[in-house]
This record gives sequence, structure tokens and C-alpha cells, in this order.
Amino acid sequence: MLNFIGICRAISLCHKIYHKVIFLSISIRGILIQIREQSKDEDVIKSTAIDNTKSFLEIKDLRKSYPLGTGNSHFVVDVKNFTLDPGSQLAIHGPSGAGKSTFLNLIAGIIKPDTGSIRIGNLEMTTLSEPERDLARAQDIGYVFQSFHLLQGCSALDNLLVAMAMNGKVDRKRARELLSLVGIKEKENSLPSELSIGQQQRVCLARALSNNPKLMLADEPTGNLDSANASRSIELLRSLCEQNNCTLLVVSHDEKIINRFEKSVDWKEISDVNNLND
Amino acid sequence: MINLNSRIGLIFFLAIKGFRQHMFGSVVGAFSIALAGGLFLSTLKIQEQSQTSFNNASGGFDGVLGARGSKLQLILNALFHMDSSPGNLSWEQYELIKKTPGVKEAYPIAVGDNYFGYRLVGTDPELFYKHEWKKGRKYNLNKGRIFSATAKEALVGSFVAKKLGLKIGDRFQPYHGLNFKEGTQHKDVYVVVGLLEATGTPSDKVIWVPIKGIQMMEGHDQAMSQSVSAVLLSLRGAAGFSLEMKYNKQGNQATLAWPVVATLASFFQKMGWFRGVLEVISYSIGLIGLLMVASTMRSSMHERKRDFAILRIIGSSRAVVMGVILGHTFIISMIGVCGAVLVMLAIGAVTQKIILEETGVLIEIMNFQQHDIFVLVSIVVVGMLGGLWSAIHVYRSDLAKNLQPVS
Repeated sequence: MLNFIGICRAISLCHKIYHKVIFLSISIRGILIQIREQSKDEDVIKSTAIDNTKSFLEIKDLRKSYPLGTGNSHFVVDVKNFTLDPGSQLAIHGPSGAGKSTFLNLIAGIIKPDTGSIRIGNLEMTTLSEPERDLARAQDIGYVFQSFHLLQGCSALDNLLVAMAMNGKVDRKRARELLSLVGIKEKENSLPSELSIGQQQRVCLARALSNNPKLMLADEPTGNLDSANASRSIELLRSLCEQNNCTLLVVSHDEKIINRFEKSVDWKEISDVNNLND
Repeated sequence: MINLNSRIGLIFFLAIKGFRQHMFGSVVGAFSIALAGGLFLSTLKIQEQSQTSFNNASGGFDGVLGARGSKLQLILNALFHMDSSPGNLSWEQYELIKKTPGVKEAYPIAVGDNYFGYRLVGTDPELFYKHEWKKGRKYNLNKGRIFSATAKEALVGSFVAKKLGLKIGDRFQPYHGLNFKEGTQHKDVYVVVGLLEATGTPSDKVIWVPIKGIQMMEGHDQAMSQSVSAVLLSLRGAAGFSLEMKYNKQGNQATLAWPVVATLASFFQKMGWFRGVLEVISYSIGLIGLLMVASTMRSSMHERKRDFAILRIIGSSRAVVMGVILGHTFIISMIGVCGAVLVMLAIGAVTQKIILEETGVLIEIMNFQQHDIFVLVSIVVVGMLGGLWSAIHVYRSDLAKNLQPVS
């Protein structure tokens, strides 16, 4: 009896090992195919870089849902028509958990929509492959996060250099200029853990600008700052985007921040309102 | 400065930053590779070098003629100055084999006394004038001269001279027996007349005296004055075959241990089970090391999950992120391999000292061979395999899952 149980266990173990080996070989094969495709894609993306055309950001019939436990889906993003002109600045306000961050992640190509189109310049984000979307983010989209998302093992300067490296254009001089512009040049060799919250936010901002993006997305950019720092920060973000002719889209639940923008829209209305820039 | 515009440069830059950021986990990983690899390498190296060194330490002799008994015991006693003597041969036997055609050199030795545990070996001084202990290498004197065949003089091996602090002109009284025992001192007084240069062979652990000295030592049996413990032989051509026939197959008076290397090889072969045990231990250590590396890399990469998500969000491809993980593992593995070499050298140095003290044989631990390089490269590959699983996991993971929406 014991022998029989032992044999059964051995067969089960062999079966598990077989599946792991198959999984590993499929994984490696998939990775190699993707790496091959990626090198092809990078050649393509260089010829389709974003241009500042008239309607810069154009979103149509965009929908994104997440499955609920009951078997139904919950639509967190449902935008019929949304456009922004080049260089414009818009704030979207709404309560936490409404889907604002998901909306920005969809625009940045971090997640894929269920349906709809997102056109940034002459790039249709929804039809790009993942490596193409990665490159588009590196080249043309800046992203400022509430929790900053700085690389903890890299200094302030290194965080900017790494972001520039993603675009293949590392420029130490410009990185230092950007840190100087956001007022923390003397902290360039400090690790994020050695910086105050306000300083980390500035590094995040400088990093977002490091590749001269044409579109800046900011997700609760002042969420971790006190009122005075939040005001200073948002003004800095706006002025830098203006100087760089960069389109700015900010989402926030903070009314004070929203009021600093000439154009703003409530998240509830975004689905129904067209041509917000008008 | 690393070129960040190149993908490889960027990968290594981020891998180095990751290593620094997760220093403890990375060092633990490197240490486990160093320990496992070092133990594995040193086990292989010591057993391989022991065999080579013991073969080379036969002092340039092809065979040993001694009393009827075990060939291995004869070799250990006459050439390695270990083990007890299986008995004696008559002086006539020595004279007979010396004159046998095909025998190039024949030196009688007599043992039976020690000085603080180091053997006194009586022999013919011609051994130090004519014999090559290694091809093209005769015994060299560090100081003094070779003893006279008729005087109570001693030539001291380098290891003994160092251990006992013997100098030219020092006088000493040997003790009876092969092992040191208080109260067994002979009355004969010997004078140190020469110090030998080191050879890395067991002869370094011996105090050489004229054979008459041992034979005629006060207190020794009268029969000993006309006998020898063994005869060390260098042979020409195929003389060994006829001598083996004469002594081992047809005769019953003496045993010829020939060829020395084959007898030793057979001994090492018999010890194969021990080598097998050591190999199983070293492979087990290697496996534990691999599991530790895999576990360390997995937890380290889990800690870095957020970093990888950040890299992806600022435009890094999955391949670069995977490269960073493999680069991090590569750095850990390389440091581990350097550590493994150091561990191997440290273990080798300790073992070398122990074997030298016990046998007088100097094992070589510094000579890296092609298969050692292969083992080191394999350690790097195996270490990187430990990180590959994490790399594939991160490669396949969904970016959005690692970036929790805040609103």
C-alpha cells in the first residue's frame, strides 16, 4: 500500500516537473519572439513619432471595464468623445476610485481599453504593439504620480538620466538644468529617501519633463503635499508645460488645485461632454 | 562611466544600482554562491591534486624492494616515511639487486629511530650526489654538506629543520622507534652537517643519516647491523617486468613494489568511494547554494517589483527589465565566483598545510586548469538560472497590476 502511494506521489511529482519544464520552454520561446518583434517595432516607431497637429489628443468611444465577482463587468471608463488642442491645459476632478487614474493609464498605453480609440498626434495608441507603446511613453509622454514612483536606488540625477536613457538621449547637462529649474540642483546626488516629500515631487516633475514630452499626464500630483507646497507645485507644473508647449492633463480630487486651472471638468461629465477645449 | 544610451550600459547601470539598493540580499546571494562553489571546487581540486602530488612525490624511484608483504605498505614506509616497516631484507639481497642488470640505481634505507617524531632514515650518501628526485632535479643543499658514510652526521630535511629549528653544528640524540616516546633516547650523538632545500616531497620530513648509523645504533638488535629496511630502485627499460617475476611470482623472500605510480593509483582507486562521498557532499552543497540563490533572487526581485513597474511606466521595455534582473544576478554570480576562488584558496591553503605536515607532500592548489575555468563559468550560469525564473515571472507580469490606481 505504502509503495503504491509512493509511486502515485512520484508520478504526480514527475507530472508537475513536466508541466514546469513545458511552461519554462514556452516562456523562453515567447520572450525570444517578443524581443525579435520589439527590435522590428522600434524601427517603425521612430518614423511615427507624435507631431503637434491641430487636434492633439483625440479619444473616441473609449471603454474600460473590470469584472465583478457576480460575473458582470463594471465600466470604470466610458468616454465617447474627448479632444485637447496642442499646448492646452485641463484638469479633471472627481472622487477617489472613480476611474480617473485608469483613464490616464489608458492614454499612456499602460493598459489596453476594451473598445475605442486614443489618438495622440498621429499615433493611434490602441493599435500600437506593447513595445511601440513603451517607446511612445519614453519619447512623448511625461507622467507625474501622486506617489512619485522614483527609483529608490537611484539619485535624483540618475532618475532623470534613466528616463532619458529610455529615449536613447542621455544628456547630463540638460538633466542638471531641469533639476535646477525645479529648484533642487544641490540635491542631485541625493537618494529619494534622503529628500523631503516636496523635493521628491520636484524630481518626479523634472523626470517627466526630461524627454521633452508633448503630453504631460499628472495623477493627483499634489496628493502628498501640504497646501502651500501643492500650490507652488501645480504652478511650477503649469508654467513648465507652458514653456515647453506641452499639453497638460491633470486629474485630482482637490478643489483648490482644480480652481487654479482655466479649464476643468468633472469626471461625471467627461463621458457626455465633447470638445472640452472649446 | 557607463554609457546609458546603450541598452547593455543601461541594463548594467540599473543592475548595479539594484545591487547597491538591495545590498544585504545581494551579498547573501553572492556569499552562498561563494561558499557552495568554493567547497565544490576545493573538494575536486584537493582530491585531484592529492593524487597528482602523491604520484610526483615518489622521489624519482620506480620501485621499492622490501620484506615480503604489502606493496602499498612498502611504498608508504620507504618513500612516504609513513606506516610501519613490514620487516627487513638482508644486506646480501641489497647487494644482489644492485648488481642486477637493468637496475640503474639502488639505495638501501634503514629506519627505526626518530627525533621528536621525525624519522631518521639511514642511507647511502650517494643518493644525494647522484639521484634525481624529479627529472633533472638533484637534491640541493641549503647550507652545509652531505654526511659522510662513516660518521655520526645528519642531513636535515627542510620541513624538519624549520619545525625543530635545527642548524648546522647542532647535536642531538635520536629516540628509539618510529614514534616519539620519552625515555627511549639513544646514547649516540649526531651532528647536523647539512640542511636540504625544500622539494615538496616526503624527504623534507626526514633526518638523513648514514645507513651504518642506524644499523649500528646503540641498543639495536645485532641482526639489524646486517639488514636494510628496503631498497629504493631506479630501473632501466623493462627491467621491472623481469624483477617482478623474480621477486613476486617466483620468489618468497622479498616483495617488489613496482611500478610505484600504479600501486598508488590502485590505492586511490580503492579510495574511490571516499571521493564519491565527497562529490555527493559538494554537489549537495552546490544544490543548496543554487536554491539559496534562487530564493534570494526571488525575494530580492519581489522587493524590486515596484522599481520594475516604474521602469516600465517611464518607457522601459519588458526585455530591458528582464535584462536588469539577469544583470543583477550576473553581478551576484560573478562576485560569488570570485568569492568561490577565495574560499577554494583558503580551504586549499589549510589542507595544503595539513597534508604537508602529515605527509611532507606539497599539494599544488594554485594551478588553474581548463576544467576549473569550466566549473567557474558553470557556477555563473547556474547562478543566473536562479534569477531566470524571477526574470521570466517579471517579464510575463502585467504592468497595470503593479501600479495600483490611486483614484
